[in-house]
Amino acid sequence: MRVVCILFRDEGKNENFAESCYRFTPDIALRGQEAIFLDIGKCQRLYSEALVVSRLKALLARFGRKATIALADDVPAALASAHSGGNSVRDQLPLAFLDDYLDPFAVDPETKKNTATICELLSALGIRTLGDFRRVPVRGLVSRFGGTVETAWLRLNNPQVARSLPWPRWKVPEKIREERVFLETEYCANLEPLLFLLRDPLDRCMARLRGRSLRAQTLRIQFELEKHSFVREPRREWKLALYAPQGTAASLLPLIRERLQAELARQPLESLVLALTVEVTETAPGFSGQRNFFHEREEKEEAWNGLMGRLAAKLGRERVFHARTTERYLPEHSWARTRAGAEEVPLPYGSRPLRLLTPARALHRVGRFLLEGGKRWRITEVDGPERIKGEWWSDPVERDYYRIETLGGEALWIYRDSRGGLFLHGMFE
Amino acid sequence: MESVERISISDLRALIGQTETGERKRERFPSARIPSGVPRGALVEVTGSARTEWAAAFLAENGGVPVAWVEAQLSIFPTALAERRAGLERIVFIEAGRELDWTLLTLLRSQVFPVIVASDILRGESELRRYQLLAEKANATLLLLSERFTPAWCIALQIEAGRKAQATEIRLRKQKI
Repeated sequence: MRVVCILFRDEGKNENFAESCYRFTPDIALRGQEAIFLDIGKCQRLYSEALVVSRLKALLARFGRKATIALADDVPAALASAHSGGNSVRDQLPLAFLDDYLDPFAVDPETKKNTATICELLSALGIRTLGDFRRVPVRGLVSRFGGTVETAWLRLNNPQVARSLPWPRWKVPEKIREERVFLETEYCANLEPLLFLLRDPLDRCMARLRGRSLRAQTLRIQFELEKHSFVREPRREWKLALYAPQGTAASLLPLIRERLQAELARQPLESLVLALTVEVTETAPGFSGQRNFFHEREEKEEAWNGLMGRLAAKLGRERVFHARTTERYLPEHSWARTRAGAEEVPLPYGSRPLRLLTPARALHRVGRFLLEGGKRWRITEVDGPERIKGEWWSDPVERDYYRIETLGGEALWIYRDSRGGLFLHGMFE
Repeated sequence: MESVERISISDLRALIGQTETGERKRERFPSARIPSGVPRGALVEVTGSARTEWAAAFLAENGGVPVAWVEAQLSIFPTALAERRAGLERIVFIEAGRELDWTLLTLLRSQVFPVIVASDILRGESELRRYQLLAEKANATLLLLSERFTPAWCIALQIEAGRKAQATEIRLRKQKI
């Protein structure tokens, strides 16, 4: 095994760079958006190490990326070497490099936090470099710090263990893309004929997705326009990030229609459309390959997703939601918006009104009357107070809530705050 | 040859009459306060000072039915609905803003929700008729929570939910079907 580590020093799409590295080896792995590993051990007869490094440098220049390249016999060593800027004296590296040995592919987000704690504890014991750490007897480490530290110790001391790390091979995500070039007789200058002709490529995309038990999450639609001097944008492109994944052209078409209707009303097409492309850029797990003959669950879920998608696209994602109760006493914080229906938290307090005013409206009391804006209520009965006090950690609150019955038959939920102000917060309607 | 079951002329007339007048047996949601139940595929208007309380009680009685709760500006308090065991997990809240009409039509056309609750819709007869036709097709109940009664013939059931000594008092103002 011979591993090249390309550690990026800037931000960019590492997947694109990884794709270009297929020329060297198919064994490619990614450490999130931080680094790329190439196992070139099996292709050393094709390329020398020096040649790989020089070609990688040329590629980095072509992509406009900045990175440190390091070579080693295993993944953790290559990563540690790249992190240290090519410092090959492993034993002199500080203890913080232990993370590179524990989780070089950054699979578990918790590892970094745990390693930092372990490093602090070890530093307090006078162990400051990887060399110091290697010299500590492993038995003493396991009893104090657990099995994680033993793994790091073994990977540092035994190259065979470091080489046997499972290799999460990265694959280029296959693009699902369908195109339709229009015939001369297919005159397309507005939405209706375009939607008609869009249906075919969209349907093919969905059929390909269904074959893999996937559904579309994000789509890209592109129109190629006839080029004229007055056409400012000969290629129009739209990205559709769907609220819920869709698996059929029938559920997608209304969404596309609404989006394009709005977009083309804002900026109409400047010339005839010559070709259109539909590309599925992001997918989500879908249903099994064949529809279930015995129940309609899939169809129902598809209809539900389609509807939610349309509503969210038109009204905004934050305006279509489920609600769940939370364990907080302050009425306005006692519930939260969610994407899916959640189990209810048992409610620890008394009766709440079905209508809540956000924000609460200031009230004035004149004798037996309560006044708000142009409204006036005569108090007939008062029930309370119920004191709500707390949330001292963020926004300290102290309110006395009352239920007020009025002459008109309405029931108000009002409160008096710590400064004596009266507010209308809800209605028992 | 297969034998064809003979049907009398009077039976046939009764069947034709049933189809023409739409006298099919209408499905209903059970409701303890309304003995005949709440009709499906129809518009139901609820007014009075306890209209939302009645709607919450109705949802609690019909657990498991997917519900869409639509308002232009949401003022419904989900915590209070949970307290009344209305089943928050199956309710989708929609704050429609200016698109209230579009939202209701889309929900009815989708035929996904058997119960749609909409608050303070001030609509004319023709819009309500459109909702009624779609509700009928979707076999859905559109509960309209209104401040005042709407004098529209297409509303099948009008309920007045008032408050008397902290309890809800129900009065049927109109029951067409």
